[in-house]
Parts: sequence; C-alpha cells; structure tokens
Amino acid sequence: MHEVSVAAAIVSTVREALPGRTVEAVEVVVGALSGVVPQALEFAWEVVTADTPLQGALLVVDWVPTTVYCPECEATVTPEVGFLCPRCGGLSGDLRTGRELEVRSVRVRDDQVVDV
Amino acid sequence: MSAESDAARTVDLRRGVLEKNDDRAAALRSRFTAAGVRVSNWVSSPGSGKTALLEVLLGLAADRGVGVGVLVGDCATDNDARRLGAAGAPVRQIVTDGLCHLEADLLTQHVDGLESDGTPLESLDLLVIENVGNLVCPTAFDLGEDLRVALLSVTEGEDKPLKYPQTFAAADLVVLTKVDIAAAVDFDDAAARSAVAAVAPGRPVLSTSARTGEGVTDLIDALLASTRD
Repeated sequence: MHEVSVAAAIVSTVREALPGRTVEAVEVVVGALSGVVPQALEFAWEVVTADTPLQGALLVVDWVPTTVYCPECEATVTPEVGFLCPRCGGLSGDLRTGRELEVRSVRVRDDQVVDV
Repeated sequence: MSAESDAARTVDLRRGVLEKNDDRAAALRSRFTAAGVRVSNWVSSPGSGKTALLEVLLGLAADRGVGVGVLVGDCATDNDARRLGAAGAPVRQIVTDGLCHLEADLLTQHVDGLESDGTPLESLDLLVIENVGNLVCPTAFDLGEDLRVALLSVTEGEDKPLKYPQTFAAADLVVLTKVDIAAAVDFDDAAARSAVAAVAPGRPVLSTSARTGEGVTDLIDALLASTRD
C-alpha cells in the first residue's frame, strides 16, 4: 500500500504548484510498470485528501499499458506477458510506455485570482 | 493572460509525482559518487534470504578487505541489524513503522546517522540497502543507488518475475538465492532465467547460496563494478 505515499505526493505537488486554488479534479497518468494500482490509489486519495483543501477533488487516473517496440514487426506493440511481442513472440527491451507516474493536469477554479 | 473570474479551467502540470523523492535521490547519488562508495538497493519478497546472503557477503568481503556498510529496512524490530552487526560491519536498522518501502528522505537521515555514528561514506567500498521485504512498493522509489538488485529464492516459483514485472524490469541485476536446495524443490533454473529475460531483457542473473557460499564472490565483484553511467 505505498499508494498512500503516492497520493500524499500528488497532494503536495498540486498544492505547491497551485497554492490557494480550489481544486476540482486532478488527472494523473499511471503506467503499468509504475508499481501503482489505480484502485488502491483512488482509495488512498479519499483518505489522504480528507480534511485538506483538496477534499472532494476528483482523481482521474489515465492508465497507460506497457508497450514495447518490436524490431521484427517494426511496430509498437502491447505485450501480454513480460516484454514479449504478442505478434511474433520476440523479446524486446525497447520500452516505449509503462513507467509513467505523473500529475498531468489540474482542474481549478480561480475564485480570487486576477492575473496569472 | 487574465483569468476568467470564478470559472474552472484546466492547468497543464506534467510533473512527476515522485519528483521530490527523485531530487533527494539525485542528491544522495552525488554524495555517494563523491565518496567513492558503490551503493546497491536490494529488493525482494519477505523471506527470500536477503539477510542470510548479506551475512555471508559481509564475512567474505571482510576477508578481502572490502569495506561494506548496511542499511536494513524493516517495518518493525532491529532483529536484522543485530544479526548483521554480529559480523562486525557497520549496520544501521531503518524501522519504517509499517511503511512498506524506503524513500530517499528517510534514507538520507540514516546515511547521516551512519556517518555521525563513526562510519564516513568515504571509509566504505560498498553500501548495501536492504529494502523492506516487498516485491511491489519499493519499485517506484529511487534511493540514489548505483545498482538495483532483485532477489528471487528458488522456493518462490520460477514465474515470479512474470507476476511482478515492475520490480524485475527495474532491476539491474537479478540474484537467485538458496540454490543449494534447488533440486529438493524442483526448481527449474532455465525457466526462471527465461522468466527474468522476458521482463528484464539482458539483465545478468547470478545464482547464489548463503549456505554453500556459491556465487557470493561474484556478487561482491558485481557490486564493486556497478556504476550508473
């Protein structure tokens, strides 16, 4: 359950980047190899944001599968097992997506802000 | 631009969730490099034999005049530090109070603690970080190490790398442990190696036994040779 640490890191990232704003939603990108389980993160989000300015903010998780470039097929493919190409069975270490763990965007309401 | 008052808008942030941890890990990495100490971060399930292997490693390293320090993470107790300390090496227990992984911030405190207890990093050739026994949670947290080591004991099943691809994909070196009992548990070495290759292509796999000492000298050599560049 390191998702609690991850949720806390998301909260502090958002609050530092956008202090004092009313946050409606936070969009995070989570890769299949990031080690973060979306359901656990959503549960942790509720717990970690309770009694903070982010309480009630929606967490939107964009799940990114593992993809690798298969040189045999000359294509970016989504392996079913490990890094094996599902088309030709070849092995590729050329990882294209899957490690992401990023706050992509934040939906805010600028109640008091005049210029940004 | 002027903001639309009271209107919701979407701000592009594109910031790594663990950026702070990564920054602290980068600071640690510069410190380790400056001190000339090679640092490895050992990750595995509980009971894979990390501590037993380390005990043997500490003995063999001492015979070779290789200075090794250990930071050992557990949710509770200092049992492992006491076990490892018996070998005479500088060891410090990191009790995480239930936290399922180590983070760079916590590690920094304990590296400071190791130094203030009389073991400057410069005096060490190797620093081993024994992470909390957990095959999932430590994966995302960089600790400034030169080498990430994933350990797999022969009792765990050859397909474990396929079940926990994140962990093995993030490893620089895979260590098989308890190979002295491989035959007794019908361990299929080739199957385990191909499972590693499927998620961590090209990564070296080292067979070890704490009981017989097999592979431990090779492991020390691999740790001494590790660099991030």
